[in-house]
Amino acid sequence: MPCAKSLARAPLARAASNALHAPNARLASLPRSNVFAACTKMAGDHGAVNLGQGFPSWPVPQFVLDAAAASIRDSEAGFNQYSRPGGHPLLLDAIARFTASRFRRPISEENVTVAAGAQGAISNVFATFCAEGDEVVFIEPAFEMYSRMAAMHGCHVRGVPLGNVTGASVASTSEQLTLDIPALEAAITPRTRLLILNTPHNPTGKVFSRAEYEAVASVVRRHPRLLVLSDDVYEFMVLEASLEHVHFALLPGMWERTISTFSAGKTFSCTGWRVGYCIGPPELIAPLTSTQSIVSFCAAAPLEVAIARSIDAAEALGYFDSLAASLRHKRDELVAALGAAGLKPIVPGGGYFVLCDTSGLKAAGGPSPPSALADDNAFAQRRDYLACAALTKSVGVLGLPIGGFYSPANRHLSDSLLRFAFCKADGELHEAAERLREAKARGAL
Amino acid sequence: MERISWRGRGLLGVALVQGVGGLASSGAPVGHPRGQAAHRLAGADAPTVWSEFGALARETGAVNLGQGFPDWAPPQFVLEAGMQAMSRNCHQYTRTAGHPPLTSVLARRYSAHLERQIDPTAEIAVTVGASQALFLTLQALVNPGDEVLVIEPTFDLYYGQIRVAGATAVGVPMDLDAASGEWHLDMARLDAAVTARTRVLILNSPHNPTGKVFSRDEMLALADFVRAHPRLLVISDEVYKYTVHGHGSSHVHFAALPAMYDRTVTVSSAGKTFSVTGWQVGWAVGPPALIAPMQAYLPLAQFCVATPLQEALSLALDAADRPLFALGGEQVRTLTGDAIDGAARADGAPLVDYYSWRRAQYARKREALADALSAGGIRPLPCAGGFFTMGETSSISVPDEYMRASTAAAPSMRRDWALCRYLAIEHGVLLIPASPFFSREEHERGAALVRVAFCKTDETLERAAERLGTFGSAHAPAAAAQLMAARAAVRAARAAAPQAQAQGVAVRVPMGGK
Repeated sequence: MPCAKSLARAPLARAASNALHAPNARLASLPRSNVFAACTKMAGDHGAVNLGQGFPSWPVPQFVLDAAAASIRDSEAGFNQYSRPGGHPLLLDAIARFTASRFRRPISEENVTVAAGAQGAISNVFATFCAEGDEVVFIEPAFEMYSRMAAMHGCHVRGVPLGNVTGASVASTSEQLTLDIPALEAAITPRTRLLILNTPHNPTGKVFSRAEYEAVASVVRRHPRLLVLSDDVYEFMVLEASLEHVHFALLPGMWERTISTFSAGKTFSCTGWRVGYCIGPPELIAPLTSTQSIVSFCAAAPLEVAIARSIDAAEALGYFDSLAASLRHKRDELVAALGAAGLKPIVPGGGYFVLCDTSGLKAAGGPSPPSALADDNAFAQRRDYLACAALTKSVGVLGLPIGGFYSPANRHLSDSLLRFAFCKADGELHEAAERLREAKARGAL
Repeated sequence: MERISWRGRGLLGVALVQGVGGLASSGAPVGHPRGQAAHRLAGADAPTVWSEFGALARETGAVNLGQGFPDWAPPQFVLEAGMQAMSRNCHQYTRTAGHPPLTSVLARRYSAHLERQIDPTAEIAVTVGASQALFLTLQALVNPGDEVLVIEPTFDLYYGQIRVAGATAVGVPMDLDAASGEWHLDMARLDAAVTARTRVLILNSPHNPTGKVFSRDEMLALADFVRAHPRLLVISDEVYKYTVHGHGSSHVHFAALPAMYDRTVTVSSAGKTFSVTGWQVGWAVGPPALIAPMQAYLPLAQFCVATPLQEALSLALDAADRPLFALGGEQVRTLTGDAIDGAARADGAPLVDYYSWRRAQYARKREALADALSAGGIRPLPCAGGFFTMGETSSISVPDEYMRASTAAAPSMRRDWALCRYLAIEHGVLLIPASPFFSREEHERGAALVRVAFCKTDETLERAAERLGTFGSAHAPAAAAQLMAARAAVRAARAAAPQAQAQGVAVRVPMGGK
């Protein structure tokens, strides 16, 4: 895979011919194209039900909206003026109490830092702890922002693929996806700075078990320089009663090594509010606050206060239980429809998404050209994108191709995969199910 | 809530960050690499003028004229816009480069400001406040080892952001004319500061901390300078552009000057203009070649700026042009134009737009602060824009114990720092020393200067005036008397001039929320 350094070198040669406008070398190497935007456009062009993007299409819960209206309106309280880097005091207090009760360990404001969305929080982790030449390891397929941020900071990435995502013994549920511990151990070198974990997992919906995480912890213990970023944004979306959300930070010896990230936007279905936070030991949290103070100073104060009030109100309202129940229902409807259409869904134990296999699709083409696998900008030539386009046009339902969720060396594993989101209003899911049924009936699939 | 900011030290060496609580508490040895933050952030959590004076404000209960944000509520029409946005379906991710309703309003407005057709898709990036617009512009334009020219005294956040971009800040100090109190930039000095590595010039007008509004002639001279250096780009920080209140001054958009559009990223925000600094919505406007790299970075930085607040501003920006306010009074019409019952309005006061109303309010507060400083024996320097006035303090003698003191942020004490501590601790008024706004080599230029904010309610300014008056009559009576006489002369001249009534300067009505 072309490493970030060589990508950075190339644009400087072009820069000589237009010296005035030559951007920073590393930014010049960022992929310009965006599969999300292309899919959104495609869905719009064909009037398709867009199950590509991971944001909810149901309304924000009323108690959350009311809290935002109140914090803007209550102008005497000053919530419309600067918050502070690291988070508004009211939000830090609410998060600390809430987390302490979930973690069953003391959590104070020193253990919390707020950023502009979980994405902003992850960006701050990279900016704070990763230097050029560091290595970053994650479990693939993985939310593609991790690899983009790594490239942005001049870090090399190594992906450890989950087993049974595809192939002869393909999983039928996310619990059957396997984590290869020896491969994880082999991926870690003296230059590895960050291991990124994500549970419930985007895009597979796997809820990593305690045993799996204990095996990971034993690897981490052998590498003193390693920091762990645990992306827990789907924490409240565990959809099976038999599964529990495991906080990696709470395993023995892992608290000091781990930064756990959470998203108010995902939790309260307001992804546009940009309030996210990290939990960890003070020596990892304080530098994140310092970074925040330079990068964007603080998050949006009235929305921070609204989230604080929402956190306080949610448990008593039974909000988390009703969220999980509602999502489970939606998952079941979509999984049934996808299965009946021959798309072989891997039933997710948690999260917003279900991975499907398109190898049985009529319209599916041959394997991706190798050059397209290595090039982030060439997604439109890949088999998974072509399958997405075929499905969008013939069925009127769009699922996201996830080639960008794999490092180039493993990208071929995504050839037959599409990711469908079920975090959508019931009306949209019914429509999607109906279109799948109808397309199957007329032999289009 | 202090604004945490910090001085760059110009060093790129590796350093360890000692976080709160210390590494030792984790069981890892001090200096353990696990806690080691990337070297470019070294010193980010060191004590600063802001942390020290923020703490002093809390401890002493002094009248706080240090913080650079208003202590009043946002205008009612802005809150109305916020409420309206909350009721709309705009709570999920929006377009990463900016919410289309907001970018289209910004494109229309900047097309008028910059006298060209601005493309909302390619020439605008919406950011988390102007702070992030500055940060991202530097990240996008600057390579490690580049130099960035900064005109001093200057807003010190620039130093930190320049360092994080791996570049070196090169400070070019302005000269203060003792007689007029005006700041002047020596163009030869600016030219001499350019090297083969100079990449960016940061302009800030209206200027923090001096209140200078660069004239059209000064801007044209700067444009000539930029033209003479083909590799130079400009960041024009215009967050105070709607706070131009000096008689005869007006804001010049640097990017509108001949041949400057392609060289310039224009940065501004909603926070200062609409007294919603907590909404954190800012923007950068410029040619596609300069904006595209910022847009590429935005999804990685935080994906997008808060959608409902962008929606609210798309309503508020245009509403601010409509005649909703009684000059010298209050908002008398709602966002949608309905009359507001009971809104205070002096007979015959014309209805004006928010920007005009606000200018008149700031002009009045500027004058009130000038009177208050004079009563304290501090000479107010001319201020044409923004909401800070600088004061000249040479008539005040600072007690030895303060001159000899040492604090975490000022281990080697400076006169202006000592004076501000003295005034806060013993005389109940908190002003900000000027030396931190200069680079270390030039800090002496701030020795007799302070920065004072007047974005404060009339009640706050009156309390400050009382305390400064008490201080002045006890500790600098001759200076106070002389300065107050000068102020009386200025007021008399102004009252006689017809422009004063038009500006609403003489009319006093309490400002802010009920």
